[in-house]
Amino acid sequence: MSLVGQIINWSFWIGMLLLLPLTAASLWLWGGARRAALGHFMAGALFLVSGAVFYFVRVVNVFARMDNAYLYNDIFGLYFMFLGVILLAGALVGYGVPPWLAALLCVVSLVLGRIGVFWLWIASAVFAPTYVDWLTC
Amino acid sequence: MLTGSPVDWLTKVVPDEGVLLNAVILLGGVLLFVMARGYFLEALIAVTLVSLGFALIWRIVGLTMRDFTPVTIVADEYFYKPPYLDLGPLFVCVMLAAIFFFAGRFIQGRLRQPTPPAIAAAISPD
Repeated sequence: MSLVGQIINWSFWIGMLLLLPLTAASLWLWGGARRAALGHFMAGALFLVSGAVFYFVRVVNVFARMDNAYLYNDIFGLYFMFLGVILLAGALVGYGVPPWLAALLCVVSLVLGRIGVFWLWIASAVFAPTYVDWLTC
Repeated sequence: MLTGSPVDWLTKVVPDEGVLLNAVILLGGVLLFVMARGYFLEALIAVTLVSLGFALIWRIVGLTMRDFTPVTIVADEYFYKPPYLDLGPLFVCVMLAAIFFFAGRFIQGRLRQPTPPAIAAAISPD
């Protein structure tokens, strides 16, 4: 890969990883969760729906599941759903829900929806590769 | 895999659609709550803009309704692959979300104008 290609590639991945802290920071910055509730709601809904569809079209198709070209559907589908849940929970604060309850709803949604399992699997594969059987079986 | 969640129960009722059901439950719940709090106009604006944004993403990715049909048999006569995700749709999705965030902040500021002090004093029960 050329130098320009590498710069673009790294910029893309760093930018995508920065989305998560930016999403969390948006609950305090640019007006915070109370003054930007509608913004959080709209951005969260778009991320959640898009991510679910990206992930779903790959999961239901056995040919797509066997093809590594669909890896982005897996990674970014769940990532966008993750961001969407955080933004939607943040939006609830602007509509009158106490912040601690919104945070609790966010965690419960992530756990029950198993949205974070893929990232847990990635982290386990990186940091403890011999102990991921419980996630893959 | 983890088992026993409500989504698992729902996937038995509607097979292979746990992810979509999860998204629908979350989004529907928040939308109902927003309307229950009386913010009907904000809910309407959100649904309209998000639908338009998703339609744009749908068109750019090249999705069709056939992509949502489960394919479980590995055989030539069933061969079909949905369009895979590329950098373009990802970029559009992130940009649209950023635009929606700042547009929503602007619209909310217009819809929820603070009551001027003189009027607030006049309508105050004290």
